[in-house]
Amino acid sequence: MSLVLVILKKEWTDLRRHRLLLISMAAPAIIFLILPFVLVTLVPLLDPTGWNDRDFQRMIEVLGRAEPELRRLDPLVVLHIYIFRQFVLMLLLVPILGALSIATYSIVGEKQNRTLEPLLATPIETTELLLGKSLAAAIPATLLVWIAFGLYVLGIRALSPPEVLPRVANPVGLGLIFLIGPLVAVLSLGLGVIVSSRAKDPRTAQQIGVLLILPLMALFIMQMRGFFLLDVRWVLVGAVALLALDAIVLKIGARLFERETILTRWA
Amino acid sequence: MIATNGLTKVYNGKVAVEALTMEIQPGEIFGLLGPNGAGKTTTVRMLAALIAPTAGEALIGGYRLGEHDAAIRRIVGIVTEAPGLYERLSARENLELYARLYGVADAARQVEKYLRLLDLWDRRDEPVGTFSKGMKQKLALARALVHEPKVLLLDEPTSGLDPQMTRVVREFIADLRGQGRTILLCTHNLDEAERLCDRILVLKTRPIALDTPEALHRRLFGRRIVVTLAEVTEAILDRVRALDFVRDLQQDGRRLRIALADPERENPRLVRALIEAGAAIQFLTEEEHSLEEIYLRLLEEEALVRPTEALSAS
Repeated sequence: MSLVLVILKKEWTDLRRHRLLLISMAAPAIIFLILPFVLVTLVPLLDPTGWNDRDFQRMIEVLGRAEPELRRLDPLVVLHIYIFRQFVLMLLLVPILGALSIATYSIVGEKQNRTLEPLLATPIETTELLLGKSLAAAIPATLLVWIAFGLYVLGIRALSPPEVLPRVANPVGLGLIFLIGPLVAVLSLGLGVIVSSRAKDPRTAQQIGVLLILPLMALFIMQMRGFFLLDVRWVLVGAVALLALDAIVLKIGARLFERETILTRWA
Repeated sequence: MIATNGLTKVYNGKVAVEALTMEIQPGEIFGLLGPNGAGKTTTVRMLAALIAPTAGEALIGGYRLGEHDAAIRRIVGIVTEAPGLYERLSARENLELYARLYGVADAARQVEKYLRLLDLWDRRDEPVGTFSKGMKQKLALARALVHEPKVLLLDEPTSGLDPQMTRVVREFIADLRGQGRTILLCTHNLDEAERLCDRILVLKTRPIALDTPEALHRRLFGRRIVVTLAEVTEAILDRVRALDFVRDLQQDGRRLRIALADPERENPRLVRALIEAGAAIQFLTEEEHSLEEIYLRLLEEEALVRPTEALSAS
């Protein structure tokens, strides 16, 4: 068995028994799956005049410019499209937080339990160890967002008008989940590796997640206020930028992941 | 099995180990003693190919450090100061992980062998987090042995264990000698070193002394006979002083401490002289010094040689 797979197996066995970590990974997925359905149900009930909300009208205008056929749809359908599209963006928090949690718990946990020295005394290469740990974080985080998106799609199909799903699971939505999702997971775990080399506990290490959450929140708010609308072009530009950032962050992480550096310089 | 020549490690301008030259023979248990910060753990890490020396060279099992590090890691087993086990994994899973990392062909059989040998088989499927400190230390030993290494590096293997568990671990280490493994034992426990080690090296950044405990004893204290008499008189003292082979005489109440070069040859003459002087001999024994006394004397001498460093260390 490849040593990468040996590490992967060990990490996942360990992860399966770390209930708190599993719950903290699943929580954002559950929240961002339920919240949009609550919103599309409650908003028309609580605020029948909400259709005249300035932000919503601006968004309708922006959406209408990009997709003129939306002007012909019922405002309730547009509300569904608007909210569900927004929350596709929020689903990206799932791979960000998931990969970051696993990577930081894995590395800081090894430091806290002093398990790294005997591990590094084996014939494993540090690149194999880093790859094993990275895959152990990136794969479940990515799978989790894909599963969450699958449930999201099923929910929209079951509970929303038929015009909504094709306009949510469109090239932008699919690009965000299947292209940007894995890339932000890798970026998140790469940052997790870097910051874990200095942090003494996983929670401190996870604060680096703000670096990724803030730009995502900025996009969410800008799109909500109708200042900006993600399209396929922006998704591709984002993917290229993330690919470059991933390469930089992983290179820095790999440089920190040397036997002597780990044993003598990590806090 | 292990040979080092001028092995040196410097961290950020601070010397951790300086000019360490030693040879450890196959099947030998070699003790590495020294105060905190003396460079013991750094030495172990260098020999395990975990960190690179700044200068000097080392051969471990015929492999050159820095050139054949992966091969060195395959033939070395290490017990670190902390057991360093995965607490959510079971004892069996911990050992299987390492067996696979070391490329052990029949991992399951090896894991079973060492779990049984160290009396952990009955709790093989329980999470290590539920184990006592002693059980964790035994599991750490099993982990170090699961790939049948020729060289075993043990860094404080009995640290923090209760006397009963200390004995179990110590006896296990003694048994390993019989299997022909070469063992480097770092310890603060001088009694342990005395019981287990064939030779010891006292390290305080650089080597202070290297020899068998007996040879170090002779070198530092010479050989002394302690004679307990019913009564000590001036006549007896004069008679002993007059003996040409007596190197030194000290009186402590009714006990005489007499330094001799060759007690086996000189004792009968000494006893005869004492009786002729009217002494009533109650006991006669060779004075013994513990390894602790030898160790402390060596460190005191080192402090006299390097007073500035001793002052800064204190």
